[in-house]
Amino acid sequence: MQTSPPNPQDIAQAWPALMQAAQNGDAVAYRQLLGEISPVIKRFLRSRLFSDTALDDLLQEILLAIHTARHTYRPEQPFQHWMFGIARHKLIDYFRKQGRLNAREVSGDDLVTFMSDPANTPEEALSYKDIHQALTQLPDKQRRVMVLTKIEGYSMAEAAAKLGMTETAVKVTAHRAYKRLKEWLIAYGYT
Amino acid sequence: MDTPDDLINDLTRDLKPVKPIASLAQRVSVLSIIGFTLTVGAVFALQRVRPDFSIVMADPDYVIDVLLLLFAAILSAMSAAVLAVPDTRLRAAVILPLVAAHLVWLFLILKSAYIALMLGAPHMSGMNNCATDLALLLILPLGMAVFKLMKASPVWHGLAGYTLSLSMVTFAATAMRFLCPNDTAAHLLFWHFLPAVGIAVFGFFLGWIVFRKQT
Repeated sequence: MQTSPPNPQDIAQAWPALMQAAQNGDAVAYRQLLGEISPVIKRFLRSRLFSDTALDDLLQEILLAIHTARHTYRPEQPFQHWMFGIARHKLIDYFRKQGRLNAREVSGDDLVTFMSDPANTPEEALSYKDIHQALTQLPDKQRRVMVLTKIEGYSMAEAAAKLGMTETAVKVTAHRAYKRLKEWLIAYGYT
Repeated sequence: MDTPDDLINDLTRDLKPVKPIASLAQRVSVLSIIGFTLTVGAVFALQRVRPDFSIVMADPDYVIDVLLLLFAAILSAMSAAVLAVPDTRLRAAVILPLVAAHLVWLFLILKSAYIALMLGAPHMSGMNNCATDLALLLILPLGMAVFKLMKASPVWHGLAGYTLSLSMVTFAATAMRFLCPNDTAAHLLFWHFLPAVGIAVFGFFLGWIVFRKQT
């Protein structure tokens, strides 16, 4: 005889008890709880995020926050309101950070302006030796991003996958590297 | 951390028991005790009570004002205590006490403004250091209350900071009624009540900065 799959509402009803057990140090109950709430939080995030890239990162941040705040759960409070209170806060925090990062990103228009500047023509371009020397001034992470994206020709997404970073993090690192290179080149007399 | 499953493994490995946060009633009591003892208690402990204390305590108008302030302080502490734990909802338990506390403040401010206008041009009659005293009385209880709330995980950061500072500043304003002998309406309005409101608004930004890092 085949048994029917458990009703999601029945599963959720067990969460307060599982969290109380987790507060008492029951690792098995805690593992079950985190395993059951993860797909629920993931669905919550998926319906609010435009891309899946940040989904796992954000889910992990929320699980960490739930872990840190697990002492604040009290059985008289609905568990889902408590859990989504944390998830919602982390999501807002993520959107806020994204907003700041997007403001710092180098736009396509900036690159067109850069390329149309006569100073940036191949004749005026830096020698390989200069480039190599400039790159050695960069911190390791920035140098690897620059090498992958500007010398080896990887896209931001490909570089992100290779370095185990998010695409946004690669863009930000690249932006910081441009800034640092510019400062270094100006200091060495390039205009 | 690599995948959510790896993280779950890490979090469940060597899981330690944690002591659940105190009940709402206990949280309200703790905040109220901090606020009351470190403001009103401090005025009595430092023997800074106004010289006419025994006389004004016989004045029902004065006693009602003091009781209203204490009531508003405890109501705001209740809102802050509810906001200490994560929740998606701004529950009635947050909204109702907060509205009631604001109504008390509104009543006291309008009453002072009305009396001041009835008496002609508002005179602030010295004692301008009351706003400074109010702020000084507030530092320790607010610091302790913020520390207490940081041990919880408020997710409505600004509002948590606002309710907490409103509560503590209302306790401090109550203490000022025991300290400052100037009961003229204009003085109360300009040197007690309006600075208190300003400090509560500052608490919103304080909470937004401090509590955002907690959760």
